[in-house]
Amino acid sequence: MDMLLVMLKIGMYAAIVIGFITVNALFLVWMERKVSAKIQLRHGPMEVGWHGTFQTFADAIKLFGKELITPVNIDKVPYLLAPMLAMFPTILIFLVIPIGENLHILDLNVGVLYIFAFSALGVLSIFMAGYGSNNKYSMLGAVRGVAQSLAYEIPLLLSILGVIMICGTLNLKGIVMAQDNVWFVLYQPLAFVIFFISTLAETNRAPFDLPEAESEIIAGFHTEYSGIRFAMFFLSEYTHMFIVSALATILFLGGWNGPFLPEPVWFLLKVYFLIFMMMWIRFTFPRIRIDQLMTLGWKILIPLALVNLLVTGIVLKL
Amino acid sequence: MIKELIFLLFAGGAVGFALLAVSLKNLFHAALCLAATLFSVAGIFIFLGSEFLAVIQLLVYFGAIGILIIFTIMISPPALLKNETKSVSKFFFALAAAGSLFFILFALLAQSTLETETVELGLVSISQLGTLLLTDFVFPFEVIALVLLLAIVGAIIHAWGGAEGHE
Amino acid sequence: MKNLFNYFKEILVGLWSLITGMEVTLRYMFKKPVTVQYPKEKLTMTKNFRGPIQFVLFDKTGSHDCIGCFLCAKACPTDCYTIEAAKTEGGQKRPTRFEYNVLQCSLCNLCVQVCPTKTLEHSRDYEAAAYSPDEYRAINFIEHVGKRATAQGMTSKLGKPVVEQEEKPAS
Repeated sequence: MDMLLVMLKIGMYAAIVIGFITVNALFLVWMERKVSAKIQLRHGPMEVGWHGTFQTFADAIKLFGKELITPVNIDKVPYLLAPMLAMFPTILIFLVIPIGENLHILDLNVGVLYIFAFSALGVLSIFMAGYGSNNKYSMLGAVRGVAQSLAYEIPLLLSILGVIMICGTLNLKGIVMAQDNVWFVLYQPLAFVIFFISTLAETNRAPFDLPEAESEIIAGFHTEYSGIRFAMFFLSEYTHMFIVSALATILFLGGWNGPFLPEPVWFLLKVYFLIFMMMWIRFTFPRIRIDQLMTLGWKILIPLALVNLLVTGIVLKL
Repeated sequence: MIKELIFLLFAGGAVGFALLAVSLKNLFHAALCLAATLFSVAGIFIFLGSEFLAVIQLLVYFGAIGILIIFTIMISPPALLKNETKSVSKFFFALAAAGSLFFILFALLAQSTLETETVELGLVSISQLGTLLLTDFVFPFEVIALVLLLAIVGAIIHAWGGAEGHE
Repeated sequence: MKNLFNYFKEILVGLWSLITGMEVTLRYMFKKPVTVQYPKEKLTMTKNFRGPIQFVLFDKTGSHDCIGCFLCAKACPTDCYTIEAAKTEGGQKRPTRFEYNVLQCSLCNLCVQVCPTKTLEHSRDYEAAAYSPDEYRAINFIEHVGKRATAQGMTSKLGKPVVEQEEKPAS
């Protein structure tokens, strides 16, 4: 009986998380199309539902109904495993994100590290997709993806170290609690900028979307995927956007802290504001070259993050 | 019951994937199996109640080292990825080398006089861990840091084209 | 030291240029979209738009002022007009048949220029579409002008001679 209860609980959590991921991705696609349209003086989707709200639902249904094309000469196991492996970490990461003070599924002592550990899995899925497709464009996209994530994982981790030094905990709830009065973005503005730029690169968003640069290498690592397999990559990309924005909110923008409105509302407002920033950036800047990407990562972000860390340490000791 | 099942899953996964990693012919598949092994080990850590170790295992071994290995495979020229032809003599040499290492280690461990004691499992917080690293174990910690620094400097010099510098 | 200074200067200048770019897109975000939701809202074409030819519709009579002089047919380089004309009771020559082939017309404006009574004009119709090309092969201008007159609520006096003193609409 007890076990049945546990199973029921797990099933409920899974349903909530997967449901939220799906709705969030559909909303983000709609939002992205609207933001791009507004910037380019267009209307964007207008036909299905109020201002095209349900356009993405229709698109998703169409995508699910499509034929699954499996090319010959692929490496079967990595090819078929990659889309699932892309979804898997995003679902796991959702477990620890605290949307309100008591609104989370898991409360881990090492929440921040947990999130970074599982986002490393995403790179593996990109790589498996690129290798398994046996296609030169996929391979190029995969190599770019791995090189990029290697270069940007380091400034990402270095930039959050400052925050962790200030509040002395890796627990996501603890970090938010420490920002009751002052958000860490005021103490660590440089770290926030570095974190934000690195997350753009981590999630393969423009202007760092080299792994799937459609004008150069078709669709990069997911060139050979169709139907629901492609949808899974798509879903994981948008969920990843939500996750890194949520992490930035927790680490720098005070999580659910805010006056008047209920906690989850504040949290989601901040998250979607950051996502809006990402979209705004995407439709402002052109894609950068791979050497510029590496220069930015290794020669600018990492030294700046180290300097920030040093200054933080000195100030904390004084 | 469930606990045993989960443990068996992770332990079996670790052993099975490790065996696959050394026996598979495709180098990329072998690397993936290695990553899966490391993942299973992280699972065992969680099972043993050490979240921190599990997460670090994932972050460092799975995320960094696993990816690095795959990256190395990726950028190495295809000639290096060709399967070696099987030869009986090589197999026996490898067996002899591995076997002798096993016996030496086994003999050493059997003779060891290190005391074993049972310590009650307490939750070690990360701050405790950090304090220990910078007080009691500061010497090994610094030595490791120095070795890593040397390795980085060496790698840079190597990439630059020897001690003479580039060009 | 100078190198270090330049390094930070470059970063700051680069960051400033990024912010400038973001400001531009932000401003555009609040501008009115220039695209039109086509089937729901439609643009009116400018006066000089050269659509297919049509008869000028006279406000008072709801009719046309073609005198059947055949000049347009003569001027037309692609032969799109089929005209037959006869004298009416009042002794005025009027077209009995005036057909126009849009498919052949090159919209060269020659007929408009040559018309002595200024009866031909370019329409501002930009969404001409039909199920078959036949619908555009012979457009009956006399009927067409009648339809437009009824659409505007005028009683058409088709075939009847236009009152002599009628003023032409200001163009």
